[in-house]
Amino acid sequence: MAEVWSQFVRFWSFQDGSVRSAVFGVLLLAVSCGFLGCFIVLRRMSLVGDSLGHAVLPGVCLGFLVTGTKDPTWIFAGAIAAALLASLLIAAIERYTRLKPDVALGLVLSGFFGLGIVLLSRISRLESGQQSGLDKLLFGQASAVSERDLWLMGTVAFVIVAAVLATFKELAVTSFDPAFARTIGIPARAIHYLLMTLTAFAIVISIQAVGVVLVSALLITPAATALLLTDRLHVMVLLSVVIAAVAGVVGLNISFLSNRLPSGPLVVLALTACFGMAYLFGSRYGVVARIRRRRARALQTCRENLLKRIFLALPSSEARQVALSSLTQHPATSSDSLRAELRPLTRLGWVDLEGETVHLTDVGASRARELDRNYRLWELFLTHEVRLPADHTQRDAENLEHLLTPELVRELEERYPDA
Amino acid sequence: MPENPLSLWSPAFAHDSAVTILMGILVAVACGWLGCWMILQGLALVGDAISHTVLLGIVIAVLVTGEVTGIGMFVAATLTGLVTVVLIDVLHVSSRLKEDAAIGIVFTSLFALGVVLLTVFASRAHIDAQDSIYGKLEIVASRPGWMVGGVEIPIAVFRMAAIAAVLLGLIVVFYKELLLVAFDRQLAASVGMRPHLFRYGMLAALSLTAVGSFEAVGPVLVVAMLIAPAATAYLLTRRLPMMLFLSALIGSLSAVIGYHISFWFSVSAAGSMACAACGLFSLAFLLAPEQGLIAGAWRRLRLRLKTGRENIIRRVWKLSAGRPEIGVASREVAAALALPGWRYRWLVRSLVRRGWVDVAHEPAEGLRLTDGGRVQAQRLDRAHRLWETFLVDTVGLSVDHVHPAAEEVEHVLSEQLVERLDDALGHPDIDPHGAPIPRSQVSDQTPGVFVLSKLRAGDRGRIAGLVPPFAASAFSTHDQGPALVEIARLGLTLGQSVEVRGRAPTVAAWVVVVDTRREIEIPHALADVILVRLDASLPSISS
Repeated sequence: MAEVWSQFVRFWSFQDGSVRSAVFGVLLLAVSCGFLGCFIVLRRMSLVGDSLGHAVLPGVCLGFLVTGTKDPTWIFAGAIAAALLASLLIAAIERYTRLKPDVALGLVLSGFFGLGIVLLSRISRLESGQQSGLDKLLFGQASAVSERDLWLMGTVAFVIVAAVLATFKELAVTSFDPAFARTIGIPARAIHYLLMTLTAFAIVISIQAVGVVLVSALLITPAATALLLTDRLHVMVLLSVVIAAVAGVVGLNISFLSNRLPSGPLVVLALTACFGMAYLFGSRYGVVARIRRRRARALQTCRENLLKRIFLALPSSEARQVALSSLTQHPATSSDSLRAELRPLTRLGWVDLEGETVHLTDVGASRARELDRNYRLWELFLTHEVRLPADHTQRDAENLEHLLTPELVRELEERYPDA
Repeated sequence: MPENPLSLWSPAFAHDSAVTILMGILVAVACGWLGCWMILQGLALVGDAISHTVLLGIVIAVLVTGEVTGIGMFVAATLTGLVTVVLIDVLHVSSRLKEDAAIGIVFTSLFALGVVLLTVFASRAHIDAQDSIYGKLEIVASRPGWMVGGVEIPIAVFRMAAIAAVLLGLIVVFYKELLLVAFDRQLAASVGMRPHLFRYGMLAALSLTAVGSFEAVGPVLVVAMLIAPAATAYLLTRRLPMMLFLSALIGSLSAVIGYHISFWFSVSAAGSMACAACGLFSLAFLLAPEQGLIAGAWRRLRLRLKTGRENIIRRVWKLSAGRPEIGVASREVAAALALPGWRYRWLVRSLVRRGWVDVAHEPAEGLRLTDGGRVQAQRLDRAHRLWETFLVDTVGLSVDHVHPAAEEVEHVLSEQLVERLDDALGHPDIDPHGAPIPRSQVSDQTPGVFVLSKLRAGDRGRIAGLVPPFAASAFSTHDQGPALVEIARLGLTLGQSVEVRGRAPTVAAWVVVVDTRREIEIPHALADVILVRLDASLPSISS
């Protein structure tokens, strides 16, 4: 345990050059992938990243075979060439056959990866190939990020950020409304190819740290997490960069502590953890928040139904008091449970309970009248516009009386002034 | 490459080669069958996800049971496969993420978990992380096996054979259901099938296949064998049974080719198999008879040539002002169509070969339409102008917008379609620009014979007969019985002279004058079956 702690301290003190460059590298990746990932997820191109990620493998191997060493320049060139060729092939298969896009992605992914494995098995027979460390490219090894790699990553990240910022408006419009984008003269196809090219670049600089098999997670997961947290594109981009950065560093940290584990899967798992948190606890779209909202609505409906029952049980329109016993008949309830049900209503100040009499307050009476009115307005709407027969409207109207917003009520009132 | 390329069949290697190829073929066949349904149902990438996440199931099973083979692994891996699908479905239904993002997140997470577990417990798991990605088809032959007829066959091969047999059985038993679910989910659901169950069942079968072939080909190459042969078959046929057969055949072929390549170049067998499968796909992509790239390019080229030829014919017809005996200077035609010289000459040569134009060389080079060429020109004019009429009358485009569209369409409208259009538009006489729409002759063999409904006011001729039922025009299936009664009622006879006055103003009928004195109305349906041989020498009533 003490050893783990000392490793932990060593990691965060950034004494090691390799830790420094790994962390710096992962931050650069977080920026590039966070920027691109948002558009990729919004355009439903998530699996393009997966396809291109697998497809760079043969390019990397060819780049290695040219020099016989792990020269970043050649490997980068090979990887870029492979990724661009792969995206061209995907486009060609989609365009010239009746195969669906997912089949095109799968074909290119597996074909290129198969070729990559053939080349890799060839390289492992070469003498220089034994220590090539190319096999690390499958799952990534962030600690092997060299200074030259960093320069390359930095340049590419700069290009990506600059390109995305320069075309932000075009990217946004083509992602959300391609048809509108075309009508206002945005070259949608050029933008698409630009995004594909940038994605290829982002993937190529990421494989060293996360590996070809899992690189797509770096593009998809932070952006998907951000999408669950916000509705604004700017915020989404920033959030996904932050999420990618945090998860990346945490993943690196764990990988560093264990000393043995490949960094790629750990970064991915850290990303998944972030995603899981957002999925469960996101304030707007999270599962918990949604369940809570639904429960609150159900409770509100119960309370308001009871209020309406009291209101309808009043002996006359001026009266404000009704005996508790007259409420237990229909539906049949025990007086104790009715008292329990009335408690939240008292808290809201809708009713007062005095002995065996229920007293409707002014607030309660006006809310009850409002509900009754909502019910009747909606019933009118259903019979007039939806043309439901009068005996079919009750249930729908009862469900909706609790949900009608003031604007909607106003509109209905305008429509039926004599209601 | 070894000195003797066939040394893999020498006694030293023959057994291993045969076993490896057998395993490869079994994997390919099972994946090929499954792949057909995967790509038909848009499940290709869910399949990709499952074949990756099965790793997690295998690792868990090995950690729990402590053995690399056995039933536990199949159960665990199949469960992981199903969990993958359920997670994808849940994520994509219960959040605003689309299916692609859900697939991406689920499969990368589960796969990463598998890799981490594998690395942490590497000493206990006896599985190598690298090998579990590449697949090692080569080592299958060296695994312990059962003796069959004096030959040792590895257990993995039996297992894979069993999986393939089960798949075949399921396909045969549920063929009808699978067919319906694949092509028409709504109908399948409405007749009481459960498309969801079939989907889960199929993905469970996929997990099973992925486990069976995991050691041999690894997760990514399972995807290759799933998608590539099925996609190749898809490009070659439009019939499902044929597709299943071709897919299995192409998969097996990839196994055989792949193994040979891997032996000769001493590279990964699984990788070579995937490359071979994708190589075969590329061939089909280029060369498939109907859907291949080259067939498509050839079709487009032929259409371009046809368009070029037809443009020349129409231009000559127009420049000679409808009098085919007048020649038109080549220079003028080429300039009007903005054709480069070589292409113009090429097109003219092909027109002469077809006998549609004559080329004169004196005083300057000129073109003249032959009779055949004139028929073509009129056919094109007719298609062009009918299309314009259709666009204006039915579609509601304005008159000044229809010419470019018609210019394109005239080359692709089939003769049958033009006749249909003519029928539907009520045999119009003039197009929206006021130009006459040429009539269509009954056939090229009987020049000058027209259906009565297609004549114009002022046309004169003699009744030449009736349209033979179901033959001359495939689309009008008039019964001749009532037509004959009607003809007798109107007093029409063969050889009688008729002159068309025009359309009846109110009813759908034609007003004609018979024997230069009797004016009658012929209903549209009847006018469609009466043939008239034009004869301009007949006396006109106005003269």
